[in-house]
Amino acid sequence: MQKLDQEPFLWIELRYAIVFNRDQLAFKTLFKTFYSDLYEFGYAIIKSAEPVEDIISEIFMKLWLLEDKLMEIENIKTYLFRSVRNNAIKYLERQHAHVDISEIIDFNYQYPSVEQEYISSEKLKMIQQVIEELPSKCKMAFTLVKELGCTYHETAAIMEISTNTVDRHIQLALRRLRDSIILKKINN
Amino acid sequence: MDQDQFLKLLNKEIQGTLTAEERLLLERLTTDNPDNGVLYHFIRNKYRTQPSTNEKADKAFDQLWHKLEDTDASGPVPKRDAIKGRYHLYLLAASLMIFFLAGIWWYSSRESSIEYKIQYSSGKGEKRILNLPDGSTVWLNGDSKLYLAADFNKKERRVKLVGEGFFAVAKNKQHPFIVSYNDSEVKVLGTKFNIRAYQDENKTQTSLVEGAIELKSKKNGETYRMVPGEKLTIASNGIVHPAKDKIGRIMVKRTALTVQTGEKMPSEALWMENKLAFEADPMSIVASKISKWYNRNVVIDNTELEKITFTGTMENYSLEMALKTILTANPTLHIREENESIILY
Repeated sequence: MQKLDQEPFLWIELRYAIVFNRDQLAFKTLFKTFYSDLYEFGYAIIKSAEPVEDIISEIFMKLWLLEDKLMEIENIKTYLFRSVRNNAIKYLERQHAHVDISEIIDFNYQYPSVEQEYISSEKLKMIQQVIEELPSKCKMAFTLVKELGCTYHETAAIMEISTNTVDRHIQLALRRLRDSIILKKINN
Repeated sequence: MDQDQFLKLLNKEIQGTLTAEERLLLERLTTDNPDNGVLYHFIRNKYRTQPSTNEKADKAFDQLWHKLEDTDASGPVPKRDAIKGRYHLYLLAASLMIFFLAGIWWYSSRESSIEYKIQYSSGKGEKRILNLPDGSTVWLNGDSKLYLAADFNKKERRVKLVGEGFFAVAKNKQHPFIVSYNDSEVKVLGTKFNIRAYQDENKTQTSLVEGAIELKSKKNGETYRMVPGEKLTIASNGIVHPAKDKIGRIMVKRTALTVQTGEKMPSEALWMENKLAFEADPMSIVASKISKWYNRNVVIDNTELEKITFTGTMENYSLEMALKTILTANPTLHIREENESIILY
């Protein structure tokens, strides 16, 4: 992910190799660059492995069959994440046809248990607890920004909301985190 | 108070819009207050994709590729990573590929002998819309010619352009559409683009509006891949010396297409809407455009005028109005008439 973020021209090159040379290696590079992150993102919405794998596979199949229409995709990252989000929600809607979908949709991102410098594991657990309790959309925005390296602009495009709304989601997440860190200290 | 400021700065840190001054302040707030420190370090510690997941991605990709192979002819053409049992098929494919590549080489080496049969042409000051047999549409600007290869649409769709044309190419993957002009050629699948390649102008301009094209310059042997909204200008052997850079290479310039306010198309394609558009054009191009548009001989008599440019769009202007507009925009410019010719100096 890092490389594509920093080098927008890499996408231009990959895109050409896919469109003109039908280059399998270029296509695979694209796939592997995004696969894990798309999977974790989709899994956070659906919470079941197989449908997420199917959704990602379908998106990339469609991408390959777009042929030269692929040239119209400016930001491949937002295109992919938005597709996963929309298809995951559609999947849930199909699964729960007669229920208000907004009550079902939650976003439970599996935070990787990476050693955090400067932060004790106990504090980290508490932080993750707070994040888990955030409203679903706020959680998704925060995860896209912090864990998946999206800009506010990209996050807005993926979630189909305004950049201002993204900003408000992030502000809320930060405030809740800060408040609970202080509260925790008082309680101890 | 301090707390709200801390959150504001943290938000900026996430967006990467922190100034050096604000960074100092943020760092002070985090060292002064250990609670802030916890959140600050949590935010800064970004998760990186674990390499262990790559195996899973490989497997998922292989499955996807198999599915694509099964879909249809537009699916992938597998290359080296052959699957067991199909080996002979790949050998066959490889030898066919060699034949094919050799064919391309042979084909391009004898390119000068390509036979063009059909010719469309437009007179000075005239525009034509051509509907080609493959469903593509070409708009020809004044004083231009389009030739169709004798075997157009058999293996490929090869045409030659002299002058200016806007191409809306019908999609057909089996028969690539190739335009030759001056010392370049572009290969496209299905797209919209404009080519200006008059032989009396000192450069060719290729502007891509939609889709994708691959441009090959025979001058320097380079291939250029263009993205929509891009213009490629190549210096050519016109009347004026071709521009070269310090080490003698042909000048190739990539620029973005500009859409002037109130217009729907980039300036390069406005001629189709009967608008005479100039986009930072030097006077030699201005003169050339005007003479082709109004069918009058307009020339420049001072190479210094190359440094003066003109930008603007004219709709339903008379020749007099057009010249007056350009003169008003450039007070140093003079004009005289001599034997039916208009001379700018």
